[in-house]
Amino acid sequence: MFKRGELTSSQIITLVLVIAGLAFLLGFLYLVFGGSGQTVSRETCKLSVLTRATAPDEISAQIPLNCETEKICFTDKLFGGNCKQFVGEEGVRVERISSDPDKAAKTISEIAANAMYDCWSMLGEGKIDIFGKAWSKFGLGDSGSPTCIVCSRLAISEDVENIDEITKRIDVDKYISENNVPGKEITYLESFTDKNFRVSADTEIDFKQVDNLDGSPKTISGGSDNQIAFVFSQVKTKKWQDVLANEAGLVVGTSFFVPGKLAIAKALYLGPQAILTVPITVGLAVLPPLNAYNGRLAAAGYCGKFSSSDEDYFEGCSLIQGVDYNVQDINSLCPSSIQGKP
Amino acid sequence: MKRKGELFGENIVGILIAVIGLGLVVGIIGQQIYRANVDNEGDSARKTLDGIIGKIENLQDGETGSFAVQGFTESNNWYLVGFDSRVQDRPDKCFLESCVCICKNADQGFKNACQNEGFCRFFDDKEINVQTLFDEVYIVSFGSNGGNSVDATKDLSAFCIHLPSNLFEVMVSKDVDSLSIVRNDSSSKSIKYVSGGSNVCFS
Repeated sequence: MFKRGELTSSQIITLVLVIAGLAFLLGFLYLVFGGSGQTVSRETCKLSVLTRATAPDEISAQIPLNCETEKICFTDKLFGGNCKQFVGEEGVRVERISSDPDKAAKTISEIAANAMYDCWSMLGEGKIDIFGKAWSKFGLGDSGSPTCIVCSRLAISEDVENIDEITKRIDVDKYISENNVPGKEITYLESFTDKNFRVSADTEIDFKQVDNLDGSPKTISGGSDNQIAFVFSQVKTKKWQDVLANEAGLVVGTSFFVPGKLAIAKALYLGPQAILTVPITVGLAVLPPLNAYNGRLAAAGYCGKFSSSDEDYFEGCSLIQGVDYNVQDINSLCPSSIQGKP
Repeated sequence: MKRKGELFGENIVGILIAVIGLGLVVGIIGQQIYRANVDNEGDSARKTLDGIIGKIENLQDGETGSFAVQGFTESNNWYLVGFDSRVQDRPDKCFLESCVCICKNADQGFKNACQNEGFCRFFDDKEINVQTLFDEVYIVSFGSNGGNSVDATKDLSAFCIHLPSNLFEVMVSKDVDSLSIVRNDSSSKSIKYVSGGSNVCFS
């Protein structure tokens, strides 16, 4: 006979199973919704993009783009550690990096590559007419002006030790060309270029100084907030076919990728910015601000027809570009408007 | 034979854990659904204000700093405005304190706009100055008799900041008893001024 309060074996087993099930459920929920809710934010953005692109013209502009700028702060502190660039802002994702410069650089390269890829993937790889009739609704003027979404902002905490050694080793372009997209059998580069382009780690790209359109030398934009951003921009124009050209084998068909060595590393560090330029002929007439910016950071893009519910489809170019997060550089790329949520 | 209620008594722990688990799942999913459907424009405005205020609070008294502020969808409908505690004409939600507000649709005046469709943050009784400095402004004046004239003027300022739709920079000066938030707008501006009325973004 059982004493009062004594549990039977079946009760104990039930209790253990319930607790284990609860722990599993909480773990699953954390994976899906955990941290700053990245997965939900990305899927919400993607859904809003698809909804807008497939909605009738009359209401597409009314559908908000539910795309929030992701903020990523790199720190080597186990506890605490924050980036002053994001003070007061919500949803900052803190990524711990190793004190070993090689490992830290690899982590930063990986996260930067993922940020770039996620943005591109989330926004339909540049093939969806995202802004549709919103162009006229928001008074964005002629379709020749790019409109943007700031997908993510990345910054390194000023508390990080060995920051010089870390930034010297960051090479996002190499990471993009050599590593597969998580869960896929293709590299990031193949993904950006529709599997049409492969590049080996030995490929050397010649860089040349490109001045502003008026011939004046490009000046360093010191910026007031030392961080980089991955910005998606889209411009509607039929002129892209006249200017899109193969450059050193990098531009393939209508999807292209242009690397920018060292620039991302320098941009992340709280210090002087480097001038490093890449010849991008596609920028000359189609995306004038990009040419003025000189394409310092890696960029991937698509030029061609956009998918839209509009029978009279649009053509143009989409670009995902890493830029310094300051007024001059961002507004060079986005003179008209930034959509989405900060 | 089991007595009434005995089944419940044996499984009380399991039921309790199940209820807690279910509550957590519903709460988390509900929170995410809410996030996906919240008023985007208002939420973006609030976040913009909180970002600015956070950076202001990060400054020590006597310090000056500048930082970039990001626009958002329909941000050009919003204005950043300061209300001094000594001024009578201010939104009720500021109570007796100085405040900095982000408000929509200022056609009805800032006091009403901020009270009805704005977000405000308090700064005790600091002297507040929120200002835009223009390089060059063309003022188009419409007279009551239908005539109009255009005057160009330099160094005009507006006691508010009209949020543009891309990135803009603000300079903040913080002191023990004062706070100044200034935006330098170097683009040429054309501003309509109706005689006898008031452009709400001018003092």
